[in-house]
Amino acid sequence: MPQRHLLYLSAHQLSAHAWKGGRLDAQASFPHSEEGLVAFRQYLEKRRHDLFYLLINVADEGFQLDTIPFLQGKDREAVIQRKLGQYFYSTNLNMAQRLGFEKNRRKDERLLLAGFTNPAQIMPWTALIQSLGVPLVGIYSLPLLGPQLLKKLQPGPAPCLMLTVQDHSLRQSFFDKGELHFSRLVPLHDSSIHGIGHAMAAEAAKMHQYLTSQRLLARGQSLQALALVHPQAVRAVQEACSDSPAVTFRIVGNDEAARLIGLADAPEDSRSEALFLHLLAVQTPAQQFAPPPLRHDYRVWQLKALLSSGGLLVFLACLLFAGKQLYDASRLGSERAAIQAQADSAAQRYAELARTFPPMPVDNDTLRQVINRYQAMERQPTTPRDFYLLLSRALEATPQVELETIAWQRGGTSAGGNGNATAAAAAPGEGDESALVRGSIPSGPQANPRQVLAIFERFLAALRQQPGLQVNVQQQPFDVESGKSLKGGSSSDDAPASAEPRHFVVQIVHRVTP
Amino acid sequence: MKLTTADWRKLRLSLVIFVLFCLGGAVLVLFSLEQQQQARRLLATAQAHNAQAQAKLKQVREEESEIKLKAALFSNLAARGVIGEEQRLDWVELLRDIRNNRRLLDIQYEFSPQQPLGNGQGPWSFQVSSMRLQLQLLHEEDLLNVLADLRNTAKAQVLVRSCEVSRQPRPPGDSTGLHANLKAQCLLDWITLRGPQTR
Repeated sequence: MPQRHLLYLSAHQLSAHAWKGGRLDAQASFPHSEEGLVAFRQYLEKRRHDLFYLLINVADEGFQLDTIPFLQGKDREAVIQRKLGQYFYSTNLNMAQRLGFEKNRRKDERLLLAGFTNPAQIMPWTALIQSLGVPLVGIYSLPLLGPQLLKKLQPGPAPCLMLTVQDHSLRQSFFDKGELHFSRLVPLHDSSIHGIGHAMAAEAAKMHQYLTSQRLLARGQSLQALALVHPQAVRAVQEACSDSPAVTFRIVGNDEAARLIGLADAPEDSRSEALFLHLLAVQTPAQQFAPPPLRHDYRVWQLKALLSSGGLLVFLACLLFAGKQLYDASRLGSERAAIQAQADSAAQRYAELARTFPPMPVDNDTLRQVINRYQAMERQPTTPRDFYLLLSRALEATPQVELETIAWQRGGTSAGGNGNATAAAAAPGEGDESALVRGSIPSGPQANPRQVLAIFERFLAALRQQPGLQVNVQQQPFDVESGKSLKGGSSSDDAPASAEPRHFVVQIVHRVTP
Repeated sequence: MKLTTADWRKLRLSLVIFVLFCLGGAVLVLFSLEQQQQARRLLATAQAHNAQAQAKLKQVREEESEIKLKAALFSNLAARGVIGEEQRLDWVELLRDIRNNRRLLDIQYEFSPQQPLGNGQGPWSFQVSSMRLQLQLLHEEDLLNVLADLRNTAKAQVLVRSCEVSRQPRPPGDSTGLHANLKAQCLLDWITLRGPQTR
């Protein structure tokens, strides 16, 4: 934050004050002369980057109350500029202060127009400030700070005349309902306490007459005069300013005024510049007198401040965002650590359980895979033993049947099917066993084909009684099927069958129930 | 407000500060975003590891007895010699011993080259050697005994793939009863398990 300097320009000199932490520090005074301007230049050159406020207290200042139609934006600005040009045509140090709106249907806006009518008194100082590129915040008028001081002193709603002493001058500011309507500056020829008291009494009486003549006061209306003096001068001024039907006085010590506005060091005499300078520093008015060119360097300074503070703001926002992200990352890291601890604990418990297992050259997954495969192979028929057992049980029921060949195999066989549905139903699956069995039924001298077939059918029935066996006949002992040729003769029709054994072929599938 | 060249010179430092602040802020934001994304990635990895570890633990608890049984079976197979390289010399000696012990009339066999069983992927794979076996038998019980001996004592898992037994005609004039009544032709698979260290 740059150092703030308050410049006070009176009819006699320009004085500079540094303001910091609620304290005013008088730095230098510069008389209205070439030497004074040179010294001021040297003063400014050392403080090119500081901020300056200019408070003016001169007699050549005009005030006008006026109204304009209810307008906004550029139209309002144009009307105000025209009004200022009409009233203060010889100066560009002017301004308009809004006082509110008329309570009529048109709602006209009430304005206090003010301007310094002798700019030649001010321009040398401001030109120097502008030429050095020193940021000038604005030019302010001392009486326009009066409403803020008056608000702290609380004189009541009645019209009030505030009397303040500055260097060799007495300022009289008239307020109605807290608003400044008029102000004038008169020279103070006698700066003693008695001189100040008599001047205040005389000027208040004159002001009452003037205000009454200007119809700013009603005829016969009394005026409250509020005088600010040094505490030690209060008694003497009270004696000099006796109340009358026209004017009643209230003498206030400027130490009390300093306390009310928050000024740390009260003025050492009856002069009140310090009070107004402090008010300017802490409650800088929105309206000021400097035209835009005079404030150009202040605008540049504002732009610089905006860039710096904007950049800082962006950085702080990013810092805040980054902090939030890093906090989230930290929280996620903690969460990860907790989960990792759970995983480690699970792995540890797994390792503890695994230690109870017999030592293996393989991990559990491989062990499971290998042994499952081994057991799957073992679940298949590994030898024909079980099949032989089933077959022998069927042979026990038909001892006449003699087997010649048993072609057993694990799984199915592609042999022999006659291609019909029976063969398809007997198709073996994985884990089954099958066999192609060739055999014969011996024919005795008295046997006939019906008896041979009966034996064969008993053999088949005995096979089918065995659990899980499916039988498919591929060759009958006698082919009596309609689809095949049948040979015979009269000599053999009633004769016993041939003594040759009758051969048959059956395919047997053993379904292994899982 | 119109800015002159002198004004821009005055603003130069502030502009640099502004840009530096913005750049610094952007670096901070990018760094923090990267940190957070990395933290999210690590968290996802940790969650996956945890899920895997928990599932493994749950599975091992559920299958503790099963694994112990399988481990015992594995040890048994290893003790039998099923695991490792083929011991064909032992196999030949075993066949000779069986022939002598069972007093077989004749035994002929032929081993085929070893081949992987199935797709054979992974560090552990089953290998198979097929054997064609021919026997002259007095009785079918001899065949079952031979097969049982092979399955019980061979240093391999022996599975019979097929077996054809056929009756042999009695030679004319033989009254001793020591001729072969049956002839068996079998196809057997000698299966071994080969691990990574045996390759």
